[in-house]
Amino acid sequence: MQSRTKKTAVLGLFIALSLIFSYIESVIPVPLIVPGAKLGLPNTLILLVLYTYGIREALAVNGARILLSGFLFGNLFSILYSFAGAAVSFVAMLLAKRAKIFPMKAVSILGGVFHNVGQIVVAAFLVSGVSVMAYLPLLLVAGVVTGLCNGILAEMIYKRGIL
Amino acid sequence: MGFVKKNITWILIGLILLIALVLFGVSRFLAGDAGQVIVLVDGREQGIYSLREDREIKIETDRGFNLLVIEDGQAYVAEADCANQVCVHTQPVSSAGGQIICLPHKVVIRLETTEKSETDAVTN
Repeated sequence: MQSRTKKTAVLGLFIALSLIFSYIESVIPVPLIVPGAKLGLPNTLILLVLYTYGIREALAVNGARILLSGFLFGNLFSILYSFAGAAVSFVAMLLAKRAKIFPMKAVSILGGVFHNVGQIVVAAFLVSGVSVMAYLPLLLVAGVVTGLCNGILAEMIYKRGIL
Repeated sequence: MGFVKKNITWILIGLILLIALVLFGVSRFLAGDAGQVIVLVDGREQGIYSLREDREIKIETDRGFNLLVIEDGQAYVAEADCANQVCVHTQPVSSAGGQIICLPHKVVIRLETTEKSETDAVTN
Protein backbone atom coordinates (compact mmCIF):
# COMPACT_ATOMS: atom_id res chain seq x y z
CA MET A 1 0.00 0.00 0.00
CA GLN A 2 1.26 3.38 -0.90
CA SER A 3 0.01 6.65 0.42
CA ARG A 4 -1.18 9.43 -1.86
CA THR A 5 1.49 11.73 -0.53
CA LYS A 6 4.26 9.34 -1.39
CA LYS A 7 2.84 8.82 -4.86
CA THR A 8 2.60 12.56 -5.49
CA ALA A 9 6.17 13.05 -4.33
CA VAL A 10 7.51 10.18 -6.42
CA LEU A 11 5.68 11.30 -9.56
CA GLY A 12 6.98 14.84 -9.05
CA LEU A 13 10.49 13.46 -8.78
CA PHE A 14 9.97 11.47 -11.94
CA ILE A 15 8.86 14.55 -13.88
CA ALA A 16 11.89 16.47 -12.61
CA LEU A 17 14.23 13.61 -13.51
CA SER A 18 12.69 13.18 -16.95
CA LEU A 19 13.23 16.91 -17.56
CA ILE A 20 16.89 16.51 -16.70
CA PHE A 21 17.12 13.53 -19.04
CA SER A 22 15.42 15.50 -21.80
CA TYR A 23 17.91 18.31 -21.25
CA ILE A 24 20.88 15.94 -21.37
CA GLU A 25 19.50 14.53 -24.60
CA SER A 26 19.08 17.95 -26.16
CA VAL A 27 22.68 18.85 -25.29
CA ILE A 28 24.35 15.64 -26.44
CA PRO A 29 23.96 15.33 -30.17
CA VAL A 30 23.91 11.68 -31.19
CA PRO A 31 25.78 11.98 -34.45
CA LEU A 32 25.81 8.21 -34.87
CA ILE A 33 24.60 7.12 -38.23
CA VAL A 34 21.08 8.30 -37.67
CA PRO A 35 20.52 12.01 -37.50
CA GLY A 36 17.87 12.95 -35.03
CA ALA A 37 17.98 9.67 -33.15
CA LYS A 38 17.93 10.04 -29.41
CA LEU A 39 18.89 7.92 -26.44
CA GLY A 40 15.33 7.87 -25.15
CA LEU A 41 16.43 8.08 -21.53
CA PRO A 42 13.10 9.58 -20.37
CA ASN A 43 11.41 6.45 -21.66
CA THR A 44 13.11 4.47 -18.88
CA LEU A 45 11.18 6.60 -16.39
CA ILE A 46 7.89 6.37 -18.28
CA LEU A 47 8.27 2.60 -18.31
CA LEU A 48 8.91 2.54 -14.57
CA VAL A 49 5.87 4.72 -13.83
CA LEU A 50 3.75 2.57 -16.13
CA TYR A 51 4.73 -0.62 -14.30
CA THR A 52 4.69 0.82 -10.78
CA TYR A 53 1.54 2.96 -10.91
CA GLY A 54 -0.41 2.55 -14.14
CA ILE A 55 -1.59 4.15 -17.32
CA ARG A 56 -2.98 7.41 -15.94
CA GLU A 57 0.16 8.22 -13.99
CA ALA A 58 2.45 7.35 -16.90
CA LEU A 59 0.38 9.52 -19.23
CA ALA A 60 0.54 12.44 -16.79
CA VAL A 61 4.31 12.24 -16.39
CA ASN A 62 4.81 11.82 -20.12
CA GLY A 63 2.55 14.75 -21.02
CA ALA A 64 4.10 17.05 -18.43
CA ARG A 65 7.58 16.11 -19.61
CA ILE A 66 6.86 16.83 -23.26
CA LEU A 67 5.23 20.18 -22.62
CA LEU A 68 7.83 21.37 -20.09
CA SER A 69 10.91 20.19 -21.98
CA GLY A 70 9.40 21.47 -25.21
CA PHE A 71 8.92 24.96 -23.86
CA LEU A 72 12.26 24.94 -22.04
CA PHE A 73 14.59 23.47 -24.66
CA GLY A 74 12.63 23.47 -27.89
CA ASN A 75 9.85 25.17 -29.76
CA LEU A 76 6.34 24.43 -30.97
CA PHE A 77 7.62 22.21 -33.75
CA SER A 78 9.83 20.10 -31.53
CA ILE A 79 6.87 19.68 -29.15
CA LEU A 80 4.85 18.36 -32.06
CA TYR A 81 7.58 15.91 -33.03
CA SER A 82 8.15 14.63 -29.52
CA PHE A 83 4.41 14.39 -28.95
CA ALA A 84 3.96 12.26 -32.06
CA GLY A 85 6.84 9.99 -31.11
CA ALA A 86 5.74 9.71 -27.50
CA ALA A 87 2.10 9.01 -28.34
CA VAL A 88 2.87 6.22 -30.79
CA SER A 89 5.51 4.80 -28.47
CA PHE A 90 3.15 4.91 -25.48
CA VAL A 91 0.35 3.10 -27.28
CA ALA A 92 2.82 0.46 -28.48
CA MET A 93 4.17 -0.11 -24.98
CA LEU A 94 0.67 -0.23 -23.52
CA LEU A 95 -0.46 -2.88 -25.98
CA ALA A 96 2.76 -4.84 -25.51
CA LYS A 97 2.32 -4.78 -21.73
CA ARG A 98 -1.34 -5.81 -22.05
CA ALA A 99 -0.36 -8.77 -24.23
CA LYS A 100 1.37 -10.15 -21.12
CA ILE A 101 3.88 -12.16 -23.12
CA PHE A 102 6.59 -9.54 -23.30
CA PRO A 103 9.07 -8.83 -20.51
CA MET A 104 9.90 -5.21 -19.69
CA LYS A 105 12.92 -5.27 -22.02
CA ALA A 106 10.78 -6.20 -25.00
CA VAL A 107 8.14 -3.60 -24.12
CA SER A 108 10.90 -0.99 -24.02
CA ILE A 109 12.25 -2.08 -27.41
CA LEU A 110 8.82 -1.78 -28.98
CA GLY A 111 8.48 1.65 -27.39
CA GLY A 112 11.81 2.79 -28.82
CA VAL A 113 11.10 1.45 -32.30
CA PHE A 114 7.62 2.92 -32.50
CA HIS A 115 8.82 6.25 -31.17
CA ASN A 116 11.12 6.52 -34.17
CA VAL A 117 8.46 5.30 -36.59
CA GLY A 118 6.01 7.91 -35.27
CA GLN A 119 8.51 10.72 -35.61
CA ILE A 120 9.58 9.94 -39.16
CA VAL A 121 5.97 9.65 -40.27
CA VAL A 122 5.16 13.06 -38.80
CA ALA A 123 8.31 14.50 -40.37
CA ALA A 124 7.20 13.13 -43.73
CA PHE A 125 3.80 14.78 -43.27
CA LEU A 126 5.12 18.17 -42.17
CA VAL A 127 8.02 18.48 -44.58
CA SER A 128 7.09 17.21 -47.99
CA GLY A 129 9.93 15.51 -49.77
CA VAL A 130 11.16 13.49 -46.80
CA SER A 131 11.48 9.91 -47.94
CA VAL A 132 10.52 7.61 -45.08
CA MET A 133 11.96 4.52 -46.70
CA ALA A 134 15.53 5.78 -46.73
CA TYR A 135 15.58 6.43 -43.01
CA LEU A 136 13.34 3.74 -41.59
CA PRO A 137 15.89 0.88 -41.54
CA LEU A 138 18.40 2.94 -39.58
CA LEU A 139 15.73 4.24 -37.24
CA LEU A 140 14.51 0.70 -36.56
CA VAL A 141 18.00 -0.44 -35.61
CA ALA A 142 18.53 2.65 -33.46
CA GLY A 143 15.19 2.01 -31.73
CA VAL A 144 16.15 -1.57 -30.93
CA VAL A 145 19.51 -0.59 -29.46
CA THR A 146 18.30 2.31 -27.32
CA GLY A 147 15.12 0.46 -26.36
CA LEU A 148 17.09 -2.56 -25.17
CA CYS A 149 19.46 -0.43 -23.07
CA ASN A 150 16.62 1.53 -21.48
CA GLY A 151 14.63 -1.65 -20.94
CA ILE A 152 17.47 -3.40 -19.13
CA LEU A 153 17.94 -0.31 -16.97
CA ALA A 154 14.24 -0.05 -16.15
CA GLU A 155 14.04 -3.76 -15.36
CA MET A 156 16.95 -3.51 -12.94
CA ILE A 157 15.40 -0.59 -11.10
CA TYR A 158 11.92 -2.12 -11.08
CA LYS A 159 13.13 -5.45 -9.67
CA ARG A 160 14.76 -3.73 -6.72
CA GLY A 161 11.29 -2.68 -5.64
CA ILE A 162 12.41 0.67 -4.28
CA LEU A 163 9.45 2.57 -5.68
CA MET B 1 6.20 -22.87 -26.55
CA GLY B 2 8.54 -22.58 -23.59
CA PHE B 3 11.40 -21.71 -25.88
CA VAL B 4 9.45 -18.92 -27.53
CA LYS B 5 8.35 -17.49 -24.22
CA LYS B 6 11.85 -17.61 -22.77
CA ASN B 7 13.49 -15.95 -25.74
CA ILE B 8 10.70 -13.63 -26.82
CA THR B 9 12.92 -10.54 -26.44
CA TRP B 10 15.57 -11.94 -28.75
CA ILE B 11 12.97 -13.15 -31.23
CA LEU B 12 11.51 -9.64 -31.25
CA ILE B 13 14.93 -8.07 -31.78
CA GLY B 14 15.69 -10.49 -34.59
CA LEU B 15 12.37 -9.80 -36.24
CA ILE B 16 12.79 -6.01 -36.17
CA LEU B 17 16.36 -6.23 -37.45
CA LEU B 18 15.17 -8.52 -40.23
CA ILE B 19 12.53 -5.98 -41.25
CA ALA B 20 15.18 -3.26 -41.19
CA LEU B 21 17.48 -5.36 -43.35
CA VAL B 22 14.73 -6.07 -45.89
CA LEU B 23 13.75 -2.39 -46.07
CA PHE B 24 17.40 -1.45 -46.45
CA GLY B 25 17.84 -3.98 -49.23
CA VAL B 26 14.72 -2.78 -51.02
CA SER B 27 15.74 0.88 -50.84
CA ARG B 28 19.25 0.01 -52.05
CA PHE B 29 17.83 -2.09 -54.86
CA LEU B 30 15.58 0.72 -56.01
CA ALA B 31 18.36 3.27 -55.83
CA GLY B 32 21.11 3.49 -58.41
CA ASP B 33 24.21 5.61 -58.70
CA ALA B 34 23.51 9.14 -57.68
CA GLY B 35 24.06 11.77 -60.32
CA GLN B 36 22.41 14.87 -59.01
CA VAL B 37 21.58 16.74 -55.86
CA ILE B 38 18.07 18.07 -55.52
CA VAL B 39 17.29 20.78 -53.03
CA LEU B 40 13.69 21.07 -51.83
CA VAL B 41 12.49 23.91 -49.65
CA ASP B 42 9.02 23.43 -48.18
CA GLY B 43 8.45 20.65 -50.73
CA ARG B 44 9.25 22.90 -53.69
CA GLU B 45 12.27 22.28 -55.85
CA GLN B 46 14.73 25.08 -55.43
CA GLY B 47 17.65 23.73 -57.37
CA ILE B 48 19.27 20.75 -59.03
CA TYR B 49 23.03 20.42 -59.00
CA SER B 50 25.41 17.85 -60.42
CA LEU B 51 27.18 15.64 -57.90
CA ARG B 52 30.25 15.58 -60.15
CA GLU B 53 30.96 19.28 -59.85
CA ASP B 54 32.49 20.50 -56.61
CA ARG B 55 30.74 23.60 -55.35
CA GLU B 56 29.17 25.34 -52.40
CA ILE B 57 25.53 26.37 -52.40
CA LYS B 58 23.96 28.65 -49.87
CA ILE B 59 20.32 27.62 -49.46
CA GLU B 60 18.35 30.63 -48.29
CA THR B 61 14.92 30.14 -46.75
CA ASP B 62 12.54 32.41 -44.86
CA ARG B 63 13.60 30.58 -41.72
CA GLY B 64 17.40 30.66 -42.18
CA PHE B 65 20.19 29.31 -44.31
CA ASN B 66 21.98 26.00 -44.91
CA LEU B 67 25.36 25.85 -46.59
CA LEU B 68 25.44 22.80 -48.84
CA VAL B 69 28.83 21.56 -50.00
CA ILE B 70 29.28 19.19 -52.93
CA GLU B 71 32.73 17.68 -52.93
CA ASP B 72 34.27 14.50 -54.38
CA GLY B 73 30.90 13.02 -55.26
CA GLN B 74 29.55 13.63 -51.78
CA ALA B 75 27.14 16.17 -50.41
CA TYR B 76 26.94 17.52 -46.87
CA VAL B 77 25.77 20.55 -44.95
CA ALA B 78 28.77 22.45 -43.64
CA GLU B 79 26.92 25.17 -41.82
CA ALA B 80 23.40 26.16 -40.85
CA ASP B 81 21.77 28.59 -38.47
CA CYS B 82 19.04 26.18 -37.40
CA ALA B 83 18.39 25.30 -33.79
CA ASN B 84 19.17 21.60 -33.72
CA GLN B 85 22.09 21.31 -36.18
CA VAL B 86 20.94 17.82 -37.14
CA CYS B 87 21.66 18.54 -40.81
CA VAL B 88 25.24 19.54 -39.99
CA HIS B 89 25.77 16.35 -37.97
CA THR B 90 24.33 14.16 -40.73
CA GLN B 91 26.99 12.06 -42.45
CA PRO B 92 27.81 13.04 -46.05
CA VAL B 93 25.51 11.35 -48.57
CA SER B 94 26.80 9.91 -51.81
CA SER B 95 24.31 7.33 -53.12
CA ALA B 96 20.88 7.77 -54.67
CA GLY B 97 18.11 7.93 -52.13
CA GLY B 98 20.43 9.45 -49.57
CA GLN B 99 19.05 12.58 -47.99
CA ILE B 100 19.88 15.33 -45.56
CA ILE B 101 16.95 16.92 -43.80
CA CYS B 102 16.73 20.17 -41.90
CA LEU B 103 13.35 20.10 -40.20
CA PRO B 104 13.51 23.62 -38.72
CA HIS B 105 14.08 25.14 -42.17
CA LYS B 106 11.96 22.55 -44.00
CA VAL B 107 14.88 21.83 -46.29
CA VAL B 108 15.37 18.44 -47.89
CA ILE B 109 18.55 17.68 -49.83
CA ARG B 110 18.17 14.49 -51.82
CA LEU B 111 20.39 12.54 -54.15
CA GLU B 112 18.86 10.98 -57.22
CA THR B 113 19.94 9.19 -60.33
CA THR B 114 20.10 11.44 -63.34
CA GLU B 115 17.97 9.15 -65.53
CA LYS B 116 15.13 8.98 -63.04
CA SER B 117 14.56 12.70 -62.97
CA GLU B 118 14.57 12.83 -66.75
CA THR B 119 11.61 10.47 -66.88
CA ASP B 120 10.01 12.60 -64.20
CA ALA B 121 10.52 15.68 -66.31
CA VAL B 122 8.86 13.98 -69.25
CA THR B 123 5.90 12.67 -67.30
CA ASN B 124 5.47 16.00 -65.63
